[in-house]
Amino acid sequence: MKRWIRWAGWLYPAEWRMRYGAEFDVFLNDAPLRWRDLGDVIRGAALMQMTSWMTYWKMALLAGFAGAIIAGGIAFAIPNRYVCTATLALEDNSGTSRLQMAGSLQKIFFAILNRDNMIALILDPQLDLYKKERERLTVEQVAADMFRKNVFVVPYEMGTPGVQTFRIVFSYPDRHKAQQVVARLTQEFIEKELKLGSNGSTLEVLEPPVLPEKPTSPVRPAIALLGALGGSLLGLVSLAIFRRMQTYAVVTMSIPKDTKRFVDSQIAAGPYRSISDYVRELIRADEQRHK
Amino acid sequence: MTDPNFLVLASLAEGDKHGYAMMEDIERFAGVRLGPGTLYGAITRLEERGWIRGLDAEDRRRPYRITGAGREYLEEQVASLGRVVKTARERLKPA
Repeated sequence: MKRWIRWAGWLYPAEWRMRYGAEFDVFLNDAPLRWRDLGDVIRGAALMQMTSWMTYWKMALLAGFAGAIIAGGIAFAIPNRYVCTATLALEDNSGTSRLQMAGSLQKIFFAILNRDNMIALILDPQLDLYKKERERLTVEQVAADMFRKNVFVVPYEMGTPGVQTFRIVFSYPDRHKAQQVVARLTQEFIEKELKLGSNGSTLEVLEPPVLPEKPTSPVRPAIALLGALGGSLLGLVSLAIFRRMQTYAVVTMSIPKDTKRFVDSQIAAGPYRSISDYVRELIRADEQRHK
Repeated sequence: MTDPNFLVLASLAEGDKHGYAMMEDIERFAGVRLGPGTLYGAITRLEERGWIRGLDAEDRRRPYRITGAGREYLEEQVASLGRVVKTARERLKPA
């Protein structure tokens, strides 16, 4: 136990150890120590670190490190998300305008992603999507709040007249399921297009859904970096507040309103920043006079 | 009264002492055991404020002595505490 407490003594600032280290070691040898003294020494060292100059750097480093560890832990607790994409092209040679083609696409999209179809996809035993979430939410809620918000049809221009290209995008924590869902949606798009599309239109799969290799989120290094920056900032602000509390005593004063008006005019005209500054200056002048 | 600053000053008011002697003395007269971190935290603060000063170390054990300013501060604290104790005692007397 003594060895642990002696090691904890190394947590004190170097300048403190220079001044008190030798006698502190002897004290630890002489005194009958208890386990709770370990906590007492660690607490004493932390307080001494906070009151020692040079510790702004140390605090920024330490709090930044702690922030990075915490944020990193949180980042690793967030499940990976994989994005799977399929690219399709809707071709219509019957002279349909681009606007009409976009409307046709939208019609198919809503037909596929109706409530019943989404629920059927979620509950499909092969997919079995959002299993954990379904323990606390109804399948309707999961469909509307989770599935629907992670599936997109994104049209984009290819420049070819009569062709509307678009992507089906789905993101999910399981990359295999993400691919299966996009494959199913692609298949359904093809089937629905045959039923709902105009006579002269065809749907072609330009890029089939490929199994995503890497997750797109969370970006763990960025989260850890943000945690480090946040931790450093919080540490520095806490240290500044602590130092201020150690240095300054708060005094509440009552003064007549006329006097307050005079002080305000002095602040407006003079080099004082506040009433506190003005009173401090007066007291300093008085101190000098007494010296 | 468990303020470590006050207890260390009260201990040194009797005479010069090093850390462990202060710890034992305080435990004897106040019934409070100051841990190593708390005791040396108080010693550091009191020395910074000029209320105690370290003497030459004897066998790596440095004794401390209360200064005039420290004694003055202790007297103020004792007087203030005395007033509180007196008032409390009077109020506790049966009417």
